[in-house]
Amino acid sequence: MRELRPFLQLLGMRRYWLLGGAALMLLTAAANLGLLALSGWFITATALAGLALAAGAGMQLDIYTPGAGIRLFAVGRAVTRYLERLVNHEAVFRILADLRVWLFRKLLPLDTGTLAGLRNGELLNRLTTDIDTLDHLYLRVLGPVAVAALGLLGGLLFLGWLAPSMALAMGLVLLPAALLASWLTGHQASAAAARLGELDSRMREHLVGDLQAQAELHVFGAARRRQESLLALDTQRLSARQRLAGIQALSQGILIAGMLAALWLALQNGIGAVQQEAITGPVMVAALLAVFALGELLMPLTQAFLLLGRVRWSARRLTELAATPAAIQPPARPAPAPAEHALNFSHVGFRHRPDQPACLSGLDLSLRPGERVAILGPSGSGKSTLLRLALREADPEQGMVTLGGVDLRELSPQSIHSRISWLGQRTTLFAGTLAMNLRLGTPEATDADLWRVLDAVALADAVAALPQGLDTWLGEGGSGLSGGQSRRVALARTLLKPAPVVLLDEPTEGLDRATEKAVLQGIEPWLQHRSVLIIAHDPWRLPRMDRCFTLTAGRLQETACA
Amino acid sequence: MTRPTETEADATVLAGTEPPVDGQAINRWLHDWIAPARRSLRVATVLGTLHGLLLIPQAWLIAALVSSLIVGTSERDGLGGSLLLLALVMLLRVATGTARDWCASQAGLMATHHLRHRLIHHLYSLGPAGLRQRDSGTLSSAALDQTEAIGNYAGRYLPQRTVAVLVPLGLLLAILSQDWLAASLLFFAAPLIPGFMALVGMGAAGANQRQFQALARLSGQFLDRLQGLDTLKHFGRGEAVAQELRTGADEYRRRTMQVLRIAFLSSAVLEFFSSVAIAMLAIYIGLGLLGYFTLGPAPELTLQTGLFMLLLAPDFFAPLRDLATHYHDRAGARGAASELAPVLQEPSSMAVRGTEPAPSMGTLDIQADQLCLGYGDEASILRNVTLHLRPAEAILLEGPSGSGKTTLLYALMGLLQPQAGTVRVNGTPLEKLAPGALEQQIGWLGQNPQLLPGRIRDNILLGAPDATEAQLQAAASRAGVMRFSDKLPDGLDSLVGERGVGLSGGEAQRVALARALIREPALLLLDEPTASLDPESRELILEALRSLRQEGVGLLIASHQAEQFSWVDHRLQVVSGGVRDA
Repeated sequence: MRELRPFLQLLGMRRYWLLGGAALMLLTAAANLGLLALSGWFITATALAGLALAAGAGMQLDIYTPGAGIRLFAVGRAVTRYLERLVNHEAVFRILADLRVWLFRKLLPLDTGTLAGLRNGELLNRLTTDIDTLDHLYLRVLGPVAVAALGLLGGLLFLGWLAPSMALAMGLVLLPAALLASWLTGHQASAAAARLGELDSRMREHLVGDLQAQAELHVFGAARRRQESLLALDTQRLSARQRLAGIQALSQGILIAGMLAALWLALQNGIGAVQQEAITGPVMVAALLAVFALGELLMPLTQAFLLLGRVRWSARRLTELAATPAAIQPPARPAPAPAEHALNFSHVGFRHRPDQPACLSGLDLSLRPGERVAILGPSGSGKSTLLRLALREADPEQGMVTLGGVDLRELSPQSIHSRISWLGQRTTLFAGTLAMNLRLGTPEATDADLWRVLDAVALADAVAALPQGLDTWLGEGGSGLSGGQSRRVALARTLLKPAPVVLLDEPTEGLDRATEKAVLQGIEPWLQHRSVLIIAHDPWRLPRMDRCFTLTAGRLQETACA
Repeated sequence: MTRPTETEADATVLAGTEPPVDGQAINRWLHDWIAPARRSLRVATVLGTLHGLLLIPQAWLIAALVSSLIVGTSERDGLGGSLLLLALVMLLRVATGTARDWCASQAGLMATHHLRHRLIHHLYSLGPAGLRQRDSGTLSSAALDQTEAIGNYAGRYLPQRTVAVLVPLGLLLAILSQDWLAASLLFFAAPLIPGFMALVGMGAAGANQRQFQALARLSGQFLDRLQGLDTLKHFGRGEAVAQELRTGADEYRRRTMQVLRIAFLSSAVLEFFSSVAIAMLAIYIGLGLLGYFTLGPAPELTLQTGLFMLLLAPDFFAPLRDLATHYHDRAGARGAASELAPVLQEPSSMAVRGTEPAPSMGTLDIQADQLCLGYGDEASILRNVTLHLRPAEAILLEGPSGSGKTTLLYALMGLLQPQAGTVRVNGTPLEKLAPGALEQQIGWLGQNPQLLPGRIRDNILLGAPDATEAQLQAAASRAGVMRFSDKLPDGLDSLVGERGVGLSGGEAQRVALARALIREPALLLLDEPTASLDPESRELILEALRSLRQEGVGLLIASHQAEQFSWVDHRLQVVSGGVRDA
């Protein structure tokens, strides 16, 4: 259960709502028990009184108090149930928000490699499935279990006061049945639930990959083979599901059996108690009817413990992800932000993983204020790594990277981010207006600023032609724009941010030649008086540069600029 | 959300949100797909009904026992027999209840499994042209999640739908046999429930629809922000967006709760009516037993009949309540049906094939005659294309992006059925050739290499699972895979894909080339093979292509970067819907 701890702590923040909800659930259960038990008592008592009346005796029975009690319980059951649902859903919605914000904050410090993984389906899908599953932790797992446990104990204690031997008989079967069913589903099913989750994500990965590679699969004659292997996974999944269904049916059967056995034993015991005049007839009937109400409390246990298996599995995956040690720890006491902003790499060595060969070794580079440097080289040569080091998304193994003479490791993330503006290899836009996307790093930019920068990336005319201009709504991931337009919006966003250092990774990727030329010219004024570090495959896809290097075998070699 | 919470269940009951498709058609569709589960379903329904109806003897025996004990005059010693009989009835109830759960879940699993099997089969037969505008994430969610919704409907909702009618009816008849007044009390309470639920629901329906949209927008926003988390971090917006998510969620909660306050009334109404009906029944029986109430059958009431009816009353309402909680399964299934049905109806875009075996091995001569190409019923993209690929010829297909180069390549590989015209392979029309006959002799390299999750080795062996280690090594080194795989800790056994090492575009393209080369194709078709590569990978690929040409492998290269392929034998241009010599 350790994996649930962070989520229980989150729930703890809403404890008053949860306690209120659970209390109302218990009240509903109590009203239900009261309604059934009192009704049973009432009709038995009236039957006895009726016989006495017929035999000529006087009326000994107060019918008004129990009558009122029955009505109170009846209305109370409906009202508490309604309130319970309102309170619990208030709580659930709060938890829903808590969970998502918690996850978001947990993910923030992760390194960009992992975060970039969020963009391609599997991880994202996993996150959303897991977080949706965890939404059920309270309302479907903890709540019903707590209410069943407390309700059962409370109910048995109450009955113990009314009819001790009957309550004892009930308890002797109801408690073991509840425990057995919980153990069966909670323990036995959790392996099957984890296996099911694993199979689910393998199937998804398999299918998504195959759908994207249909041309290859058909041409290479592998479509049938891949289809068979997917179906084989589904067959495995079916047997895991069948196992779960079997456990579920068995556990539900145990609960029904427990409840009916309790009823039978209570009846048998009650008969003896009445015959020995230990309890009266009406009390016996009341206790008998109470068994139905207690049984109802137990029924959700199977579902709750089944879900618990799934919830724990999801919780484990989420906590594992959230506990991925942040590759980069911000300094405890950051150095004051430097006044100047020369970017220096000195003797930098780096590799992606300890078991891999060095990606950079003994690399030196200095980007003086106002200077423009381009790095060329084949993909995989470590150019993007250079930018990651400059942004302190990774720390060098040897040597250091300094900004304004201060080691990046001593600067706060804020002071690095406020001095460096960056355009990554991949274009990421957000759902929202075009203006919102442009203002991402510069919330204070005016509309005039936005138009100026759009003009620089040769987008102003296209945006002006849109009916809603800057307020045009972009869909998720910026959908609605073409690839080239998205790239230019991202470039504009980077240029707009008033940082003295600009890092651009393939800024004109995906643009056709004519647009590329216009953009390279247009951004010229935006690069003035800033330090610029650009990464590119090809030397001709660059604005005017001061110095150019190629990155080979982990080192830079100066080369002529095109 | 994978499974709707009770909130949504209530809301769907109220909103009556049917997918905007012909309801009848959906019913028929669901009916057909549930057919394989029908036997289990029938058994589950019979068992569920039995389980419910066995309440009658159970209640009768309990009432008889109690009554003879308490007011009984007669044989108190006969109680043992009744207790034994009661135990028997109870055992039957446990057995039927457990078997019902088992059968119902089997029915659901079978329905899901069957539909999913069919859907996967269909998806693999659509072909790349048929899938070109579909999002693979959405489709796999259809195959894996939506089919689950159909199973839940079959397993949970369908049996309960019949049980919820038959069991209350049976209990009502049992009560009617004892006391018509009590029976009519329940009888009138029951139909009031759906009536009131509908009345309360109508007002909330419109508001509900809006809430669902709000929820969809909210989770969409969450996903959107999550996907761009690295960018947000760079712009220093992480905390600001966390706050934005919080306020968005709070706003959503406030608005949703306004609606739920009304929506929950529906279940409160059900609860209220069943509670009040039980209470009224108890008071009626009590007063009747006292003789204070003498209307109709009241004077004949005994403790036995009274207790019998009181024991049955809660279970008269219980199936209705169960049905209401499973109602969201119905809505879920109908939503799934309206998404799955169009996918299953989509025709395959693959070329029609016959049964003739491969015409001859080694050389490959492909002729296209008066081809008209396009997707489905849409207008043709290319018209009257006639071309001839002779063995061992290298041909460049030029043209701006979007002009139809890929479409033409698809048609020549049998991945797209031409709207008109024929493709002949060594003289035999493609539609007469067995599937695989052409494919054995060709290779394919697309612009964005699609590697499957797994080892590099598995990806190269995709089309040649029986190749030897030597062949694998040869293909890998020829395509330049060894140059980077040697640096990886596991070499060719390194995992690629989301769980493995990330390959750069150029590295992935080299794996894709090795995958094509290992089959020793007579003809290699390439779609923009170097468009998004770094100079080193580009050079490697070009070098490999040149040497393939020397060896007499036919090449058909679609590219808009003609300058890289100055060495081809022949150039064709794809312009304004046709193909002509360049």
